[in-house]
Amino acid sequence: MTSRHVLLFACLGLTLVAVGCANDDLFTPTPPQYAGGAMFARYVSFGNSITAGVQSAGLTDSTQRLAYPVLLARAMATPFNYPSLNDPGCPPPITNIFTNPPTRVGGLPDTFCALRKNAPTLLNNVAFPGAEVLELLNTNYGSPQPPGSATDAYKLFLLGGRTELQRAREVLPTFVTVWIGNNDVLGAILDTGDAGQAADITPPATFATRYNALMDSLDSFGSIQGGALLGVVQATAAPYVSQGRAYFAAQAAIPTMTVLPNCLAFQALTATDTAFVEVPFHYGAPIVAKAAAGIPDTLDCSNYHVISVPEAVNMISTVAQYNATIQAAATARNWLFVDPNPLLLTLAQAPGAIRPFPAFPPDPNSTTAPFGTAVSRDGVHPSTSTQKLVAQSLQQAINAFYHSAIPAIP
Amino acid sequence: MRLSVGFALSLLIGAPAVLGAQGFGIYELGACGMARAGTGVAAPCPDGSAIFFNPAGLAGLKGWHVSAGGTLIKALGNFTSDASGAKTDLDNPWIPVPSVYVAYGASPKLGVGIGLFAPYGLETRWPTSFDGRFTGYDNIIRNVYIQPSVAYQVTPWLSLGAGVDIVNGHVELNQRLDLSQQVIPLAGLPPGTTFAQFGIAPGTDFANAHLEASHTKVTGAHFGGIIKVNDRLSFGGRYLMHAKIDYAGTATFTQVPTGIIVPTTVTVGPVTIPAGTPLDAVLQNLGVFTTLLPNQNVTTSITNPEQVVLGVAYKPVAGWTLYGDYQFTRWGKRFASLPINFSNVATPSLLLNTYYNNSSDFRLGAEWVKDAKWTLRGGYLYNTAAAPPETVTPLLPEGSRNEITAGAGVALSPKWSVDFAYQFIKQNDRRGRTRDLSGATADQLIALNNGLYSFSAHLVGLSLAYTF
Repeated sequence: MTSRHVLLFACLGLTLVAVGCANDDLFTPTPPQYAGGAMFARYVSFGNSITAGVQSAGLTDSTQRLAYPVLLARAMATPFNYPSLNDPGCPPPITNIFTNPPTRVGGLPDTFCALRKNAPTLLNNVAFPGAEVLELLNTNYGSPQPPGSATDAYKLFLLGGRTELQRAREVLPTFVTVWIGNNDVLGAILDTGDAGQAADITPPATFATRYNALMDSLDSFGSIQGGALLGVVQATAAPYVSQGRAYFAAQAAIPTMTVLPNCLAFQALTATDTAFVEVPFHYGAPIVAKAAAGIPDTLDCSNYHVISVPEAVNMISTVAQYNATIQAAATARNWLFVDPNPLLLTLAQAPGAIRPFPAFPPDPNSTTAPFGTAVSRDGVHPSTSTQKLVAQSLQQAINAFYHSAIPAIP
Repeated sequence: MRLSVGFALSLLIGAPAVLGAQGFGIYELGACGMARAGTGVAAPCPDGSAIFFNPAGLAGLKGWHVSAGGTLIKALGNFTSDASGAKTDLDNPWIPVPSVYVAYGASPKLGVGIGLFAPYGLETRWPTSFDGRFTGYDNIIRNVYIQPSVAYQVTPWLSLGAGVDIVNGHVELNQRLDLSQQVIPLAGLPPGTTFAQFGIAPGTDFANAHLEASHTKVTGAHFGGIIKVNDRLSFGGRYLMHAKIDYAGTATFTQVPTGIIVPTTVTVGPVTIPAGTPLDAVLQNLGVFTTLLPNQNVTTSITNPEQVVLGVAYKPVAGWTLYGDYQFTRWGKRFASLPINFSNVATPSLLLNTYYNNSSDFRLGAEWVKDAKWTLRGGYLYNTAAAPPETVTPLLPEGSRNEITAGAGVALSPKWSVDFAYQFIKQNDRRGRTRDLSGATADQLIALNNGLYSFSAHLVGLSLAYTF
């Protein structure tokens, strides 16, 4: 072969190489362009009802799109799919919690489900209401499982019968937020059979094992560059439960209601923290309603429906241990840990944000914000303003920790 | 002779083809022509492959020319998802594409021959974990042409040739069915309610569909002409008619376990599904596989487009020949849609709009007769894309391509010769989609594009020729 032949083939080869290059512009979407934005190219939020966007014991696109991860993702400028539910919801949110049963949007029952509005191939918000740590970790329907509950329907309606981990792995996330564990203790205040009982609470050692296994699963994704782990909220601070002393004070305005002095019991835990007798709404509200109707009734805080001081101490201590586990998991990965409790304590000091005692009818607040403006009409889930506050806090904390420049959430 | 033709036919029918030219066209139908980038319509190789490259080239042959060979094609490709960045590799094996030609110079002016080749075909095989499995994970189009041909030297400078094409067509589509898109066959629900509305995630396999159909018919003809201006310069052209093939076959559906358990008691219209019920049992009880997806007959129709090729061959100096060909393939007229019709009225028929464009090939080739034993060849070609932006799918993630070729011919003896060739295909990366939507418009389909297809291929050709 002569030099001319070599030249001919060399030219052909160069032509080929030139045409075959420079296809980067074909990839979409491009990573977020602000400082550190590449970390947020694919964001997945794990969690439970708060992360899913439940408000007033209802879930619908109107509340889902106001959930903190949606707001955060929008600020991140990253694609974010959530399993949108048609209005009026699945079930529709409560409009009045003081009726029996509570009145919901459209007068529909709590068994109503308006089904899914969309079916994105990939889900970024994989949270589902009712989720405990175990349910993220376990293959669905494998053993062990928490007792069945009505919220199990969300495993199908939101996640299609798969687990949060399974749906998240499809996304190959680069950044995650994990806010899980609230339901490992929250059941104790919602238990209409025996509130506060230890059986409703995941033991801290078990929690730690499960949480660490969950983290190991996240590590196995191999795609996650950073994350924010949120601590568990002190369930006894939720306005769904009111301190016994609040009921004791309220009896002055309701002559037919008697509150026994045992409702004033408390135990100082630290210089700034105290455990009180706690009265769940599902037990205290009917007594108030009955007395307000002129029928004398008595609140005895030795009743098993009331959360005793030892039970409250156990719950507070348990959450503290949960959060130690979560913080350690974050530290081990050099991830951000965010404790939501200081934020909620700050909120509690704002007038009308978190009511120590529900606004019962005929108070006009009984239908607009019975538990305060920071909490929706179920006494547990954050209101729209609190969801935004959580998103803003996360945006600031993430930027500070990762030296990123996620734009502010207005 | 009968034996060798029969053996070649069995090879062709038994071996799937793969994409090697634009659209689902294949041009590597002889190692001699392949080595010079498929050029030669003005001066076909003297091994009988003129039956495909230009039937007029049979005129002027002396004696018998028999050649048999094949091309091994290894397609490499992948899809990168926009959403996850995950990359899925094409899973194609090395695939053989045989070709056989028998030509005879009946007189100094008259040549006849018969060829077996596969100018259209494809195979794309993806892993069943790929999201494109719902469009098709193992897709085969195989068209074997049997072309008896005749050529005549009308004048010393003009030769004409023609052949009749008998085409055996075979199509096979394997795909998974996505439960999220399945309509729930239950009274009491709004019409069109799908499992996705109950949360079933896209990408939930619940059935495998295997569609297989074939047909053999005389589809048309192949014409060619060569004008020999002088001993150094010649022009040529050929026209291969389109071939419409109406396929008939079977569709077989088998259940794929979802593994999903209904987590809570769900009441759907008149039916209550208890918590803990396997979803697969629910599907069976709903009659999904007996009423909607029973095994049944299926028909489809695919038209192989006509090809028009014009070219020139020039001998600048002794021993050297340069070739330049242009090919027009009329995909736009012939491959605008792909209908799939099921015999069971409850099974929705499909109309996959393909919207293909006409395509052009630009081929340059060179041949150097080094000595009586060795002939060296090389070439370059460029294909425009037949697939428009809305039709870059797992079935055929096609695009414009640059290709280089090289090869050689060796005279083993006065009667025996062997040709070998290598070809590298580099397709420009293209945005494409993994899902299809029956009856969708071009804009709707473009909106489905969700990632990037990359593609390249290595081809190795070998032909053994015997002249007597």
